[in-house]
Amino acid sequence: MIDQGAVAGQGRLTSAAAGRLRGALRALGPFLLESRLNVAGVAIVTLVLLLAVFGPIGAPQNPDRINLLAVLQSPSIHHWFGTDNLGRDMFSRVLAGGRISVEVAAIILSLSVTFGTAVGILSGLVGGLVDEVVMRVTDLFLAFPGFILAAAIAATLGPSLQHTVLALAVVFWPWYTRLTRGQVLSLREREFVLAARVARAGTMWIATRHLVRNVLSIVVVQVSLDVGYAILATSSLSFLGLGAQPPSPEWGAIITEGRSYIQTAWWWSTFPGLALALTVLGFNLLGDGLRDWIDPRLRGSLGGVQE
Amino acid sequence: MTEASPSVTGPALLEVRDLRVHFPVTRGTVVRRRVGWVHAVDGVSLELATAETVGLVGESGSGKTTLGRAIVGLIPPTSGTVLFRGRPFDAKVGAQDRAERPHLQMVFQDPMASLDPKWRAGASIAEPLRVNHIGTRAERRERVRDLLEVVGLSPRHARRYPHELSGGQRQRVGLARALAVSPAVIVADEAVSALDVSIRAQIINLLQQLQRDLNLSYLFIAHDLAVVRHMSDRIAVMYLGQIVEQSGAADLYRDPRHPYTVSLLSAVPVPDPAVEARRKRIILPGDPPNPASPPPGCRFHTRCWLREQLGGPERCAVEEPAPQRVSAGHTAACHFIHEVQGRAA
Amino acid sequence: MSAHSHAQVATGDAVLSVRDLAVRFDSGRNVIHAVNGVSFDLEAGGALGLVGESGSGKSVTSLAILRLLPRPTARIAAGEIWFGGRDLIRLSDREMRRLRGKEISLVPQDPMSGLNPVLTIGEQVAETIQAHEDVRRGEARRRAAELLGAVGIPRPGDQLGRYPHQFSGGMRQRVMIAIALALRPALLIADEPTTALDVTVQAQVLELLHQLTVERGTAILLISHDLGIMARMTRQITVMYAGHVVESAPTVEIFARPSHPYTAGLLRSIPRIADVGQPLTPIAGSPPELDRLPRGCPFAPRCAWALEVCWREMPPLAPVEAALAAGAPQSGPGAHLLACHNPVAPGEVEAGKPLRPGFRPAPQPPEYGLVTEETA
Repeated sequence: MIDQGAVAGQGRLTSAAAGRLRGALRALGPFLLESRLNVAGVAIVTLVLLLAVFGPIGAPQNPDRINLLAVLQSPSIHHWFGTDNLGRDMFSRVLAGGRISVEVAAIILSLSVTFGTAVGILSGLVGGLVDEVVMRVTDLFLAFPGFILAAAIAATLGPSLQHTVLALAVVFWPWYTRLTRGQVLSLREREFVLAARVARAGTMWIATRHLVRNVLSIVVVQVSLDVGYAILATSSLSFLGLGAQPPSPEWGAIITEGRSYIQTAWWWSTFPGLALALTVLGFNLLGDGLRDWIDPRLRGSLGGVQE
Repeated sequence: MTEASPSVTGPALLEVRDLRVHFPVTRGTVVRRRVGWVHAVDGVSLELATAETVGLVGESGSGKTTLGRAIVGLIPPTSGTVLFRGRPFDAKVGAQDRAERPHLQMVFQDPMASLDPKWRAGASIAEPLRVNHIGTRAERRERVRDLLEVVGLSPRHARRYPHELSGGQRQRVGLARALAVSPAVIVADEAVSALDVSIRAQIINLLQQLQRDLNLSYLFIAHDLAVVRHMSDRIAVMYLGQIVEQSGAADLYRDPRHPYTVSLLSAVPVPDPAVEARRKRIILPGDPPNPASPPPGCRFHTRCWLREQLGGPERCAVEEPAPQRVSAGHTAACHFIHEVQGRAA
Repeated sequence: MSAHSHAQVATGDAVLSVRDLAVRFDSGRNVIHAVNGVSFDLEAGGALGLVGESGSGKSVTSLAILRLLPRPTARIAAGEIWFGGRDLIRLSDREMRRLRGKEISLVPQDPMSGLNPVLTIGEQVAETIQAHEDVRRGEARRRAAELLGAVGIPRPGDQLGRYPHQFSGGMRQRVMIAIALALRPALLIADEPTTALDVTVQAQVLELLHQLTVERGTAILLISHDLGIMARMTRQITVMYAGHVVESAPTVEIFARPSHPYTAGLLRSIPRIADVGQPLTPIAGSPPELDRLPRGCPFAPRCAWALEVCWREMPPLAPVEAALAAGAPQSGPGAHLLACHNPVAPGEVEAGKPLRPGFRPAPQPPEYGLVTEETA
């Protein structure tokens, strides 16, 4: 018996996604075995995500609670990361900042990936004048150094976390367009796309049913590499005063607050800095591992020599 | 071009008239200038009848793949027409009424690339049905099951992904997909070339059986002359975008009248050491010329052994030969079709 | 024997002698037995063809001979490769490097992968010469031009300065042949040298290969799946299936009296130009997975001649009785060797199955443990 999944499963987002999740989980074991760096990457990212989701709930104290009796205390049993000049518990603040970083990165990447990929796929598929125009526009955006552009946009719109998110989404999207368009240029000549066209399939059918899934793997790899950058860029902009504003516990904001106290209260800037570095490292390791993992798997277990 | 080879088996199902496909050659990156044209297909006419197989043979640059794709509608022709049952065949999406299904389908060379690696086999087979809004989901499921059986697979193969299937199995899936909308004509573009020798025979037999059972017509594009000979009722030989000889399959091998056909036949290795040892081979000098700048006059004259033997007649370099009638259903585009006889290997 | 053919000296010294070669690929997830106990001899100046389909192990064998298997995934697990009085498997990398290009060379399937796209043709040919012989650049270039001329490239002096991408596929293959024959090696390995080329160009390249190797007395090991090319270019043929040698005989013998069901099946399944309208007799099923090779003969699941013992025991490679009776030697060139429990009798080739009354191929035993696909 042919079950539903074989013929009609394509349009079912949930069943397809569930299947992919199962497949991903099954691949986790071998992925971890591949390299110790992969283990490190997965471990750090898992830790960060868990802390981001559950941390602020289980935090020892309210990150915004001012306690003027415990100002500028060095790390101790009561305050693992010490306190700042308003007596706020740094550990709780770093945890809260972690949640912010993860949320912000998720939003930035959702926006830029969705928009960038859609534009890239359609541009590559349709070709012609549309493609030319899209490419020139992306060239324009890519010509600016990313960070400078984000800073400029954030400054123009007015410093706030929301504006930073927008600014970074604007910086990230052209990369996805370039990436997916390049893939689509080669994919659209592949025989399965030709077969769809011979069957009278239209542009939207080919784009959504065929191309999206076939560019997904490289997009995923790029996303995993970009998460680290997104977090870092957000914190950098906050550090400069263009992003999250006090009293937000965003890491960059905390670091910049603690700058003038670096000699007397080293813990203020140091712990959020460490958290930031560790998080970015973790995502980078994961991204690298994913990229190496996906590549040889696509090429086959013997890497080409079959006879 | 004057008359194409007249069909001997009934009214033409598919008719191609003076088809030309020219690609522009551009220079420059920012501002593109058109500096010339590649005449990939340059005035091809042929006919295909019901339940008939026409083989299309040629080497790289001959234009056979481009021709196949232009006929099916993947590449827009520069000029000329494709007629199906007397009416112009329009390949655009939804161009004909919804009730009309695409009567021409295609099977491709690379079994791996012809299936979407992220789709299960059953989904690939059902795609033409879904795109053309044919049948309900249940009916399509049934049809996929029937099609799998017809191509020699079992229903459980529907759940498999392409990487879980062998080359031969993938090609069968591709064939099932092509058959989904019950086309009248299938263009097979090097459909067996990428398969192992022992599997090739299975697929060839399958194609022939399907032709008998379903009254299918094939345009069989290939470079392997022995396979083409086996599959085809009639054969057209292409060189640099034009058909240089067209005839019934047996005639082509018994009595080739174009020097290029003769060289092609001469070049094919025969799996018989005794024959190979005593054959006289005609080795063509040089490479096939560039389709962007075909030689003047007869396109083959720069490599033609017959021209050399005849002392280099001017006519070949100046006048493009029109297809000459050799016998009923056999034409060859050469000024010296009578001189070819007897001088071949 | 005419002067224009490869040697078939009955007692000639073998220039290459492979004994019980075994190659494994270990990817960490599974082990692939690509070559399983392959033996053959090639005499000096001779022409041997390795025939097989994908998975037969023919290309891996050639890479093993050249010691070019991908490391660390691939390993020569057993066997000996005798060349010039030495076992190549025992040689160090440096010693192998000295041999490659000079004593043994390779013409690969894809000329583009053998040529460096950023060096001119002249530089690459000269580089090969200079790597092995102590000559000055000017001399190396002169010899390069000479070689290009010998392989039929017009105006070789002018072509020295051009790049690979400026040449057509056929021309590039000629350059590869020039590089391969530059130092007059004793053995040339050609791995599917014409598969990527058009039929007419293929004819040119084969002609060239034949002519040059005969002229220079180079032995040629030709690897291909195309029996037509084998008929033309070789004096002996070794048929491989799933990493085993199943049949080995002079070319004429293979075509006239194929004794292994696989060989017979191959010959029967190829369409020939001369045949009229007969249906092809394909071999049922598909080649086995090399990481799950069962005991017994790997061809058993597809064999119409299968006996019960075929599923249990791999038959040894031994001389064919009929050939011995007709005066063929036990080994070396001229011998007809076969690895089969139930050889094909004359007349059964045409039929595609045994003609003994009441014969049924032995079915797969339940403990075989292999899920065989009914269709390929």
